[in-house]
Amino acid sequence: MSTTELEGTAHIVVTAGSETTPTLLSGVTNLLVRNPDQMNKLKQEIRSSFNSADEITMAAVNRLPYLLACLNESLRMFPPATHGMVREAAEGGVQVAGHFVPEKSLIECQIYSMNHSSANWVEPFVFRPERFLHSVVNDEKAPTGKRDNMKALQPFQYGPRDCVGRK
Amino acid sequence: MLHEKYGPVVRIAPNHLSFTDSRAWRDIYGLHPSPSSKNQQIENPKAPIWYRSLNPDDPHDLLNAPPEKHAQLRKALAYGFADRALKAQEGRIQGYIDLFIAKLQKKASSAETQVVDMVGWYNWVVFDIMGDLVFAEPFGCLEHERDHFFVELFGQMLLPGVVLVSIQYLGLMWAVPWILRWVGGRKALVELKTELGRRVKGRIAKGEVVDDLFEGLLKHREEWVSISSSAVDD
Repeated sequence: MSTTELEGTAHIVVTAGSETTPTLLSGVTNLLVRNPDQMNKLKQEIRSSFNSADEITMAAVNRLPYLLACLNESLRMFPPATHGMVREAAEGGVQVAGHFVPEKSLIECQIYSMNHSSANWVEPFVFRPERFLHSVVNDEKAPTGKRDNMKALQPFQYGPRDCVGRK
Repeated sequence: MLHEKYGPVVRIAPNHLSFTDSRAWRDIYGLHPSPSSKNQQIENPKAPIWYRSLNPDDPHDLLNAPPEKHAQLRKALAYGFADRALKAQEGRIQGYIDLFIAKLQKKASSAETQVVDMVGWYNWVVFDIMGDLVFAEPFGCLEHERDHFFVELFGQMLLPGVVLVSIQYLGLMWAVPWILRWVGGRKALVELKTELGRRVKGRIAKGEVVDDLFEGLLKHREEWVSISSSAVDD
C-alpha cells in the first residue's frame, strides 16, 4: 500500500470518527436541555450508578440503559450522517422493498427521512428515549395502535460497508 | 417532507430513488446472490458519481474501494477496533475526557463565563482523541481551546463537494475537472495535503505505537505491496 493510499484512508478514519461523534453529542445535549423530564431521569441514572468519576469507564457506561436510549433517540432525531450512501442497482436490476429497480438506477435510504417517517415511528418529531427501552416497546400500546419500527434505524448504515467503528 | 407526501419511494432525480421502507436497508446495502453465479454474493456498487467523480485519479480508499480491496482495508482497520485494542486505548481516551471536563468545570465556575459553545468543545475533544488514535499526535484543540486548521478545512469542504456532485446531476460534467483544478490549487487544500502527509509520515516513523487505529494498516501494508501490483487492484 502506497503512502498516498495510507494518507487517504487515515484522512477518512479521522474525519469519519471526528465529524460524527460531536454531531451526536451536540444533538443529545440540545434534546436534553429542551426536555427537562428526560434530563432528570438521565441524571438520576448516572448519579445513582457511580460513586466517583473514576468508576465511569467504557464498560460501565454501556450498562446504563437510559443513557443508551437517549443516545439512540438522538441518533434517530439528529443522525450524524443524514443521507444514506448512494448505490447503483446491480447488473440485471434488483428488488428493493418490493419494487423492481432497473440496473444502474441510483438508489439510497435517506436516513433523515427514514428516521422521521410517520410510517416508521409514532410521533417521529417527539424526543422519547423510552421507545428504545425494550420493556416499554413490548408493553406499551402506542396511542395510534402503531409501533416504532426499530429496523428503520440504521445510523451506522447497513451491510458489509457499514461503519467500521460501530460497536 | 417529500416522503410524507409521496410515500416510501420517491424519485428525487430522473435516475435516483429514495426509500424510507426499512426493508430497503437490506435490499440496497446487503449482499444478494449474483445473477450470473448462484454461489456468489454481490452488493449494489457504490455510485461512481458520488464516490469517484471528484477524485478519479486517486488510488481507491476505504469509502470507494471495490469489494475485494475494501475487505482488505476493513480487516486492517478492524484490528484497531477489536476489544483488546479498545481496552488499550481507554486510558488515552480518558486522558482527553479528563482534560475536557476539567476545562469545562473551570469555565463553569468562572464569573467571566457567560456562554460556552458546546459544539466547539465536543469537536475539540473528539478531534484530539482521533488525532491521537490515528497519528499518535493530537491536534491540540483542547489545549489551545480552538479549532485546528485541519478540522476547519474538513468542514469547509463538505458543501463544495455536494455542489460539485449536484452540478453533475445537471449534466455539467465538463465543468467539474475545471473547477477541481482551480480548487486543488487553493492554498488551503495544499496545506491540508501537506499536513496529512507530515502526520502520516510521523505515524509511520513511530511504528512501535500499539493498538491504535493505524497499527492494523501498517501491519498489513507489507503484504499489500504485492497485492496492489497484481490484478486485484483494478
